[in-house]
Amino acid sequence: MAMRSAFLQITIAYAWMTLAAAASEQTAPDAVSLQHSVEATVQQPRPFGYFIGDVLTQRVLLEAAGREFAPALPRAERVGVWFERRDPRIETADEDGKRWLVLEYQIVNAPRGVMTIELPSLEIRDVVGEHALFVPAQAIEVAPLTDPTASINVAQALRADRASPLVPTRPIWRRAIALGGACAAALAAWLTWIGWRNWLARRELPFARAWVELHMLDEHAPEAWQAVHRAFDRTAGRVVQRGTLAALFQAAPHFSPLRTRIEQFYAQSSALFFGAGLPDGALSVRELCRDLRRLERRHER
Amino acid sequence: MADDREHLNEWRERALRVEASVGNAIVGQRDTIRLINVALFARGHVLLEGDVGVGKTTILRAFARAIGGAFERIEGTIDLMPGDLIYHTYVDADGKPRIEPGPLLRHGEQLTTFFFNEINRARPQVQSLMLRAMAERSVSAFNREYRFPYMLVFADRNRVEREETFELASAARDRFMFELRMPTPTDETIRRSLVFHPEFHDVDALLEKVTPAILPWRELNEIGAAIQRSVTASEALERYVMDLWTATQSPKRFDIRLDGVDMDKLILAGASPRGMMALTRAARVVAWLDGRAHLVPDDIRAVVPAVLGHRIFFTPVYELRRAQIADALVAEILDKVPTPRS
Repeated sequence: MAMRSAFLQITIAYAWMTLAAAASEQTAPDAVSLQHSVEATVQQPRPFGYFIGDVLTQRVLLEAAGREFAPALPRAERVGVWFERRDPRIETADEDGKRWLVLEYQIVNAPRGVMTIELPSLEIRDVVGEHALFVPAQAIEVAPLTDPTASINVAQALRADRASPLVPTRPIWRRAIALGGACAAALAAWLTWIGWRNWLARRELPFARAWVELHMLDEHAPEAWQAVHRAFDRTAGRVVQRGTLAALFQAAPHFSPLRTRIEQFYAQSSALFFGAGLPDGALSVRELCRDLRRLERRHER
Repeated sequence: MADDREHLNEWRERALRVEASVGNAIVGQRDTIRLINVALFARGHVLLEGDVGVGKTTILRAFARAIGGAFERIEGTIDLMPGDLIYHTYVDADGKPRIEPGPLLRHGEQLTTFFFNEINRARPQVQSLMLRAMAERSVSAFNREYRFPYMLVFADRNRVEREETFELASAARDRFMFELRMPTPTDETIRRSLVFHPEFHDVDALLEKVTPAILPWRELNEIGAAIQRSVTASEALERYVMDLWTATQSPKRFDIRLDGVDMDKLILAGASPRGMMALTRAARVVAWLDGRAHLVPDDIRAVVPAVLGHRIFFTPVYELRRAQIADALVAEILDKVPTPRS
């Protein structure tokens, strides 16, 4: 078992070295192009203390031989086995107005132990291809997130889930039932109150009141006519007389279907109280009141 | 009895003819014409109030012409003295001093219409003399009493000017049966006619359109009394009038309220008995003109604003706002006092 593990480690180390060599070959600058290159002023990233996923930032001053350098921006791509280059961007420093090319590399691989890898060199050409800036390689020390040699006992590591502590639900239920009961009682009381209020309001409507009064009166008695007069007055919000009937229909247009009978009522009432007395074939005050009460209730709904 | 009724019907026709005839000359003032006609047959004096130039003088001259009998007018001025109503003095062609009767005495008993223009410009002494003449229809002068049994006083005052005027005392205003407010016409067609139609620009020509002396004026008092006798008031109507009277004295008893007015402190004095008499007298004439022999509440309502508006007296705090409060109070009284009631 130990022999097998050692063989595996040797094989992996060899593979890493091979990959690293390939990467450095891939990113090595072209010998010819270097003759026209100028070494760039570079702010390199910290050389140590990196893990997989970390992002390194390299800043390159865009200046060649004291003149501004307009770079052809390098592509965002995988760089060797270790890095992934992100989209570069150009920043202008606030303090001196100088322009910097910002290159960000993310570490996309994890070493098995602490090791030094190389952020490869890079040649940045200008947009016309005549000049180039050379960015030298930078050694970077990376480390694994965990110690690969630490042995893990899977049987120990995997444990059954701890049972959740049971919360006593009986008091909660009791409270919920009490609260629900109180809400139901309040709702019932509220509905009862609304119903009672509506019933009272319906009973207090002018012609509903007059209807109740008429039950206790002879419909031919002057008091019965007066009760209907008061109902008209309450409906219009003012005293209504024969000459001011327009005010009644303005306040209660829902009485318009009975306009003729209402006008007849006022004419006959005038004769009863102020003239020669009730004419033969006078209308039924009770029937008029009942019909007006019906219109009034329909309007109130 | 039947003769009486027939006689009253004839007079009713005449009264309506007076109204129609005045209406030929005066447009847009139908309510004012009706109320002046009512006052004429209720034998009550009228105080007409309105803006300058609405036709107050013209309407009164038109009535004077339609009524017939002698007509006199006097202009109220600050230097007018009571004697100016009774006599005037001058030196005649022979150089002798002469004294002639003034406008009040000139026509004696034939005076039917006395028109006092801008009465509030005359001094209180003049107003006092006039008020006695109105109340008693007589004055004492030259050691004897002069009577004017058929005289009605029409007075006017404009409500725009208050400078150099003498407001009529409460007792004086109470002597007028009606205090009418004559509005500027609001109907567009009438307003256009008044402005553009030349016939309205010549007052004398306009008054020619009024049929003269429609009424046998010597019978007016008698007819007035007959009208009062012929129109009856039921018990319910009497109760209504009594309630209205109470409401002018204690509006709160009928739940009458006005915005921004402390109703407990509003009324100094309600309508006077003379005012309530004037109310029923005028209402009876309204009923008669309507061809009825009994009063209905609408007859009362028709004359309440003109009769009671100036007869309710407010405490000094509210008296300054009379113009707004009086109309609103009368309207509320009419809206809140119920009838018929048990």
